[in-house]
Amino acid sequence: MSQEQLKEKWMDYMNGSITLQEWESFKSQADPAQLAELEGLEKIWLAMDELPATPEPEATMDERFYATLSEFRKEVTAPKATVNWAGILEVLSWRRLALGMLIFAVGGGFGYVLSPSGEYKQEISSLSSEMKDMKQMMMLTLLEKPAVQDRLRAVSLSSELPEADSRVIEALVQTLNTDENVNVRMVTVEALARFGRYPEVRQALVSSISQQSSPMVQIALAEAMVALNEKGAVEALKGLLEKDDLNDIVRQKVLKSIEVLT
Amino acid sequence: MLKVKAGDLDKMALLYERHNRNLFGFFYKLTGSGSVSEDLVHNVFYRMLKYRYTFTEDTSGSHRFTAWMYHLARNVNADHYKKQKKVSYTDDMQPWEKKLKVDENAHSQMAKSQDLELLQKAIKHLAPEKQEMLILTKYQGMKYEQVADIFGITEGAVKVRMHRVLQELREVYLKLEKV
Repeated sequence: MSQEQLKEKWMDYMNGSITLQEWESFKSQADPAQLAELEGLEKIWLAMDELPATPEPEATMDERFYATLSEFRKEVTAPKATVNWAGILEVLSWRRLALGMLIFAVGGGFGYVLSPSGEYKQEISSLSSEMKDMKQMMMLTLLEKPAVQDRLRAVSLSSELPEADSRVIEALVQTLNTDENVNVRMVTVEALARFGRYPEVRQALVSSISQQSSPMVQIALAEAMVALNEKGAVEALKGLLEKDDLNDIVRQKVLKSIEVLT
Repeated sequence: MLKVKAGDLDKMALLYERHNRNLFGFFYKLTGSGSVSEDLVHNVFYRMLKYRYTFTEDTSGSHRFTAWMYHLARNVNADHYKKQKKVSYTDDMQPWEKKLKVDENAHSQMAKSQDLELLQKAIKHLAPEKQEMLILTKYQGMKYEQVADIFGITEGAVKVRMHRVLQELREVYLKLEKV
């Protein structure tokens, strides 16, 4: 009998699903080593019988319940307020209904005329452009910070920018090639790949391949090249393969990427 | 319960008389406090009255009602547990009261009572869901099939979980014994 089957039978016995005789017969077929663990558990299970018995609740518990029940009874027996549609229609003649609809239409017309003008819309668009500038500035400032967390935040902020100007791209490229932290460089690859529609970004990513020494960043770059379908990266990737100290996993990844791109 | 749902609220009194002691026992084992358990029992019956329209019967009859009742009881317990966590942790004074009552000459009695105290502590160390399963199986005399219905899992899964709960309980107990 397997350990699992034995456990299951023991659980059945503890729960009264099988009799003592039945359990004894299963037990006799089991290995003594298997029974050792169950004996420990049985002690705990039986000791639980010794714990203090549950006392009787106070009479107030019953009183509270019956008070609540009587409240609910009142609710059920109370007459319900129903909507008398026939009565309403009787009071509202077709003339009153027509007048109501006319007032509604006039109100709608006024609302349309007085709705925010083009100026208002312009204000909103200038506000959103200011927000974009602020984010951009914040990102550039954070990239200069010594703390890794700040630089990671800066790179992730770049993903919130719908467009990237040359300053942002330049800052990200510089981070990719010079930042000492691998994690920062890796998220920068992703951030730049998001702007892969710009030719200068693609070019910067390709030329960064030969500059990276971290296997993680090399893999991230190879993946980005495949994702962007950048065929111009094949030469740079082949160059990477010539490095003697290239990590085996990176070599495999690069080979696969070249295969996909060619 | 279907009659209660249909508006015959008097039938709720019958259900209350039939189940309140069991429910009180369930909460008492979980909380160790009589007054808290009384409150929680009241909450369960209040919810039953309030949400009586949500009760659905199937062929298994009374089992279905018991499962529904303990389902509500578990929610009430979870709410109570959350509230307790927010307020602060209050140590149960009952073990101390018991200690004071123990006759100093009765050493063996005291050792036994200490062991049981440890066991009670070990049970409290388990996650609320595990405590609930243990109490339903051990003290409420429920079959695995019923427990499975309450927890929304299979009977086999209940057995596996219960076995793990007992293993954990034993480990915690042995650890506390060493302290």
